[in-house]
Amino acid sequence: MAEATANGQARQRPTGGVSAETLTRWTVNAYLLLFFAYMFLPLLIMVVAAFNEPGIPQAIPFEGLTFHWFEELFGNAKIWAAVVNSLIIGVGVVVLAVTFGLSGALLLTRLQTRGRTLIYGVLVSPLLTPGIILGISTLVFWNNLGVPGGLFLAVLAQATFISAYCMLLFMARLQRFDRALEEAALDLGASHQQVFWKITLPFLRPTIFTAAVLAFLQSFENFNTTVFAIGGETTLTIQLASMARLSLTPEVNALAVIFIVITVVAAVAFEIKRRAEKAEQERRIEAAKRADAEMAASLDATLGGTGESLGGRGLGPQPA
Amino acid sequence: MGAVQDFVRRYGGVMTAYIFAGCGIWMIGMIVLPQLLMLEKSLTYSDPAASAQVAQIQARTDGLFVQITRAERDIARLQDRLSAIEAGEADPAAGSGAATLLNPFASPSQAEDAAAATPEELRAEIETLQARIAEARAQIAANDAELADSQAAAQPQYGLYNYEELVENDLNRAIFFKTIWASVLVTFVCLVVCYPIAFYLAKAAPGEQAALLMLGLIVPYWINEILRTFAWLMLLSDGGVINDLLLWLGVVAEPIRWRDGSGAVIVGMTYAYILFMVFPIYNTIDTLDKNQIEAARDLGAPWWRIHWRVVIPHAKPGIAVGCIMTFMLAAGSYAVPLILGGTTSKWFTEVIYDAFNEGNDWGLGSAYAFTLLVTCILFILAMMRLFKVNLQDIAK
Repeated sequence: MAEATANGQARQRPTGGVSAETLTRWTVNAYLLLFFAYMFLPLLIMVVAAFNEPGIPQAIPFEGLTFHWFEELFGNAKIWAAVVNSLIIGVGVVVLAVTFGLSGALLLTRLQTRGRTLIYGVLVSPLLTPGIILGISTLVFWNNLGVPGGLFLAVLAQATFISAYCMLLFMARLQRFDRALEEAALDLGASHQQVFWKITLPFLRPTIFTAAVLAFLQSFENFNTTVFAIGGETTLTIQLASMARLSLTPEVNALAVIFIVITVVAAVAFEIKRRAEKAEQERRIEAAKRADAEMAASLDATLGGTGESLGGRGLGPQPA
Repeated sequence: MGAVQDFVRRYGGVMTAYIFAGCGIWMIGMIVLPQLLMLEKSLTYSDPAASAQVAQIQARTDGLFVQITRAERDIARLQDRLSAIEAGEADPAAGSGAATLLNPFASPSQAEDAAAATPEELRAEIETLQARIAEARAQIAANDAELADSQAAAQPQYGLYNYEELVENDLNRAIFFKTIWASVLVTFVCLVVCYPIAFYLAKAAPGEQAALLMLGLIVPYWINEILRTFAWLMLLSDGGVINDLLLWLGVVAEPIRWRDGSGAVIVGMTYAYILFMVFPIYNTIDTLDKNQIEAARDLGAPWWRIHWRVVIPHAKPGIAVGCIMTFMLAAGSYAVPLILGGTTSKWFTEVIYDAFNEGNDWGLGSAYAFTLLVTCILFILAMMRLFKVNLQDIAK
């Protein structure tokens, strides 16, 4: 913990001297380097082995570049069956999670009664529950009704907690929603359906997209919950786990490379989008502040002495 | 009901119906009821002795049915022969004794009757077989009566038997405590390693570098835990990178078996879940006003006191969330011990899985699962008390 602050601190306290500052800088950099090496080296080794000749996963010595293991992987019928299952489950989870997540967010944003905290607690609890418990409880519950494990139960078990992620995304978005828009539309004679389709939904659309992507990725990568609920079926992640466990051929490394490429692309795209949204948000706040200031100034000019108190109370949108 | 009217006024009937139906199905049907049913299942057990007896009786009955079928088949064959002989033909089975030698599965009656038989002999034979069938049927009826008794005794009943089993089973109990202990260790190591990183990223790093480092954290954060675990398998296996390196350097004479014991699993878990600690802490430190740190420094506070009195108190919710997530993931991890674990490093989740899929004892499995759930809830409560945060802070 020392290195992180001491960096700035040395600047402030000349008593430490220049050498102390340099030392701190070196310590910080060394720590960062170590940490990021720790994060990336194992992944790198795994990736390298996917392109290595030998018949078992091995990174060093590198005996020759090959794409053979990707060919093997693509020729593996089991993998394709698993991919299809993963896609089916993913789509099912997206539909359920967005539906439930949105209903939860609308309820909690609007609800003001004492029960709100309890409902909120129950709805986010799946995020704090180990994945295997969600899988087991879904399996036990549906087995009582005569439904055995399979794709259907996998969808339900995953949706239990992925809905909560979606709900939190929707709630964050709805917090920024100006309810006066809905009220104005209702006052002007719009029907509830019109208000929803023309005002609420367009406002939520970017979040629906984000939530859907997130839900799909969460579903695609899920192992702990799925492994209990899936019964005799398999998904790509389960296939990956069993291949990783046995690690007989570098096919598993080839599959790992594909997973990594997909995630990296998705993560970077997601991050870029998030930053753009944040910048947009800040820009709007700035604009609102400016407009507020201008309005206050013009009021000051016209009303003279009384304008100050009016401007101070902030007519128009409040700066966030 | 006032709340419902409020919703109808605001969203109209259709949307209100959707909101309440959606939340109702999700909350009751997917969260509360399944958990309650799991709890109910965990409190249900069948007397193992009675269950074994039921299985035994059923096996016996099955055996008797096979005997009856076989005897009926023999009778049919004998009757064919009888009618053939009575019609004045030669015994069709006569002389086929040699064939029976080649057929070790032939029933004894076939072998006995290989020689030509008189109609009287055949009739006597049929009668013996019929008597045997009657006897078997009587036996089955007796079994059925006994079966009903045993089944009544083996009826699932409520009780704490499954939980007692966890307390009494030395092996599983040891695995349970090891899992808890190791998860706490993983959580602690992650916290110690991550706090400086989170602080540096949030407050000390220059803008450009911070953005780049953040991306460097986000990318591995999104990578599947199975891949992160497999990456460590490639490092730690007997022919893995670390052993190759050590052998090449001449540090060791033969590969070190890293995967014996729980060490490899703990190392793999730390790696797999460390980023769940970074981001919550980063997010809270990020909202700390830098002026507070400056002020503390200007007033002469040493670096450690700045952290102890200014940064850490502000980061409490983040630290609590990070610890809760990491502990929950570690204690509930099935993938990491499955891939990295050796024979001696069983995790509690694997015990649960075995109870369901190998022991086929769902009551016991549910009891283990519920124990794990309660442990996680206790940990969450402990963290909330320790860091004085509430649920709203946690689930942000």
